[in-house]
Amino acid sequence: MKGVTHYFFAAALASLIPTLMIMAVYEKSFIIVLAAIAGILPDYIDFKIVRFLWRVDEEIIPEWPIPNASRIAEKIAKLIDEAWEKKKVINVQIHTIKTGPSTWRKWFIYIDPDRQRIKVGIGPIQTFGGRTFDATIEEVPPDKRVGEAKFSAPLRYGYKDRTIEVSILTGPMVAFAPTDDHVEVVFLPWHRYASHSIILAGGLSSIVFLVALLFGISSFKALMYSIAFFVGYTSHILSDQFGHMGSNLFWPFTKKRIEGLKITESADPYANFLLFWLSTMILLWQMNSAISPKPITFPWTYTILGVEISIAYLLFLVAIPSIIIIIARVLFWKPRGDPYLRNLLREEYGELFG
Amino acid sequence: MDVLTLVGYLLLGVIIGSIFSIMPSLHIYNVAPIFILLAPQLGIPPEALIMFLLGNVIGFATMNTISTIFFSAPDDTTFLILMPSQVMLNNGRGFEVALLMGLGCLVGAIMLTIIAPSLLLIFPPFMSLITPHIHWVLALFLFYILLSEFPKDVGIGKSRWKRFKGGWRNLAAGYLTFGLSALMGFIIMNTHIIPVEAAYFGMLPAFIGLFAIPSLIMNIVSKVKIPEQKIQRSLDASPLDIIKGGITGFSGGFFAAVVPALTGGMGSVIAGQATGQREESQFLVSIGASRFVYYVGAFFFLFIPGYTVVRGGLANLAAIYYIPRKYSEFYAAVAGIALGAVLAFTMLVAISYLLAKNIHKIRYDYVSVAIIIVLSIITYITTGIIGLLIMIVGTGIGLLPLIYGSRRLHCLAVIIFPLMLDMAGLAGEFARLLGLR
Repeated sequence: MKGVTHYFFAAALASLIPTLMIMAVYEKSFIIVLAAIAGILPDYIDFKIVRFLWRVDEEIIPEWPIPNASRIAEKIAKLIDEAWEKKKVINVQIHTIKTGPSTWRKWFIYIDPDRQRIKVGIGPIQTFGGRTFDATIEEVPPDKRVGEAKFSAPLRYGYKDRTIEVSILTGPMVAFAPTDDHVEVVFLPWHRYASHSIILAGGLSSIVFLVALLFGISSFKALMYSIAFFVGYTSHILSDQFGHMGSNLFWPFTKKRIEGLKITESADPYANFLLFWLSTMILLWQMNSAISPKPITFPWTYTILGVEISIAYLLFLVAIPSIIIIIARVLFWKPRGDPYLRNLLREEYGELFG
Repeated sequence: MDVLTLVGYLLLGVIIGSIFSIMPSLHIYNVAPIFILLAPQLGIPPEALIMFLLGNVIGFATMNTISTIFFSAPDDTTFLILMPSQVMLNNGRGFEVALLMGLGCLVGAIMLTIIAPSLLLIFPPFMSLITPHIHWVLALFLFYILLSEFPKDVGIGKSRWKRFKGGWRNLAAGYLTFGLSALMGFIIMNTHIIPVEAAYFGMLPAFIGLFAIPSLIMNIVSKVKIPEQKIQRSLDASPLDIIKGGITGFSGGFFAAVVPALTGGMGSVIAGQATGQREESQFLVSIGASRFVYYVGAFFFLFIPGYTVVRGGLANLAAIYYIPRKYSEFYAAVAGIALGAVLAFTMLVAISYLLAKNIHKIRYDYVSVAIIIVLSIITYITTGIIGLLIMIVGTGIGLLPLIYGSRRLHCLAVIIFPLMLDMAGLAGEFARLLGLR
């Protein structure tokens, strides 16, 4: 999920604990904000700290201004073989091609483990906002636009139906990690490794508890701050598990990411918006419930097992909007719609994307 | 007074507001008080004045985008579009930016008029709901801005320190901008640094310094030359882009209009990220819609009968003179928003066309110098020497994100941070901590 979704989802989950909402309203506490901050923290740790400190063994720096696709493909293939032959993990930082203050030339890496080849394609220039200037592909001579190289190591790549797109800001890192019988391609090896651990969530929550005590906060409230933090942090880890990559849930006891449920993916705008919408609705409901008397009385409200539920709220603000978002996703979501990429991979297109 | 006359006053307000709003960084909130003072002498009744002021806001919300697009002098809601609009202006597409922003304003106006009747029902209880929570809701947005800054580059090189330094260069600049803006805003709001007689213009020097002047300085330093502009007959945006951008902008702008201290630009960022918006034309439409709904919506809330909602500086001032209480005034305002938006859009198209045709003929660096002089004069007249000093400090802070490539959104801490502390009841304590009390 995206940062904004994690942030508001964490706040919404924390708001479900009545004591936290009471503290927020009647003691002017920022406890819900603490949960939201914890909800974005795992990615903050990864993207703003860990990735800089992760070991880099090799870099792919495309030639500037006109990159040569064949040379890039050859270098990647050579690194895969080197990882296999020397039986050592090679972390490779891939760099983007910056062409102006807010423009980059996008390029692609397609890893085909079955045919043991790497295909690289150089694309047109695009802006940060995603606007592509198709004509700029003409600046790259045709013989430099597409390159291919073979490797001999047995390779396993969990995203083999995906192409690595290197476009804006900073490029991704991949690790070629040899095992006994193959080389594993680990996409973003520094991501969701230690930071996305439930054990770490528990450890950090304990630190929050101790810090609160140090500031003279009562043990009950310190516990509440610690719970808010834990709820926010774990909400991030568990919601990420619905995606493909998964997380190393029990670091430091485990060393590998546990594969995700593959129900959605972090870049899916509709899934993100759905969770954002639901979070906002939970927050609004809880904000209303925390005030006495309630500012808004929703129609068709019943108490079931001690919990107040408004059928009207559920129907008109939760169910119907959710259905609309899901229908919109079915109609409009084109996750692999890049026309240049389709063209580049035209021979595999049928096989890859159906 | 009959409805048609009221709408007539509103349209007059749109025309006059639009004319003043072409001037870079001249906020309608700083001009409208003159109209309020003049109205009794001109025999304009209060109910007509309030419609005239609504027209001013409509004109401003639509027309003031011109100063961002063609003169690179944004305000606190349009600075987000500065980068894409400058890129498009340099590609000869300034007129297209104006059209997209104008379309956004129109979509915002349509949506605002559609939901207006439901506001009568929803708004009063919603305000009662949000008010006790406002301190942490503001903090929620404030911390999101702070935490969501993304490192632009990891830097080339294998050394971890080199990479860390490369990545944190813009992050640190962003946090510094945030901290300094927050501190400046807190000092302005919690001391008498701005003389009492100029209190109404209190934040003007800070806003001009933070948002407008840094871009103008960059124009001068980089010796920008604007190429001849193309006059598009069609837009590079599908109806779906316009609808999506419009809905996103409306959501952001409406939320910002309701919650004190949030601005339309900020609401738009959150709404844009929630909907995964990255396409430029959608983004421009959304900022246009957000800005319109934020400014016009906030003032329009004053018209909700039976419930006095005062949002924004101008509504605060206008409410001293007159608060509309009749349903006829409410619906006249709704009709006026629809008609006024069309009039303002037409004026935007005409003036953008003239500017697009001629902008390449003028020296952009000279224009930037002239605008800085005008802004300095406005700041001096309204807030005196101390205002000029605040403007200079603000400029220094506002230059940080431009030099280090961090987000200018951090500058908004100037207003959100002090208000958040105030609403949480912590302003006094923080002031004591800083030795201000």
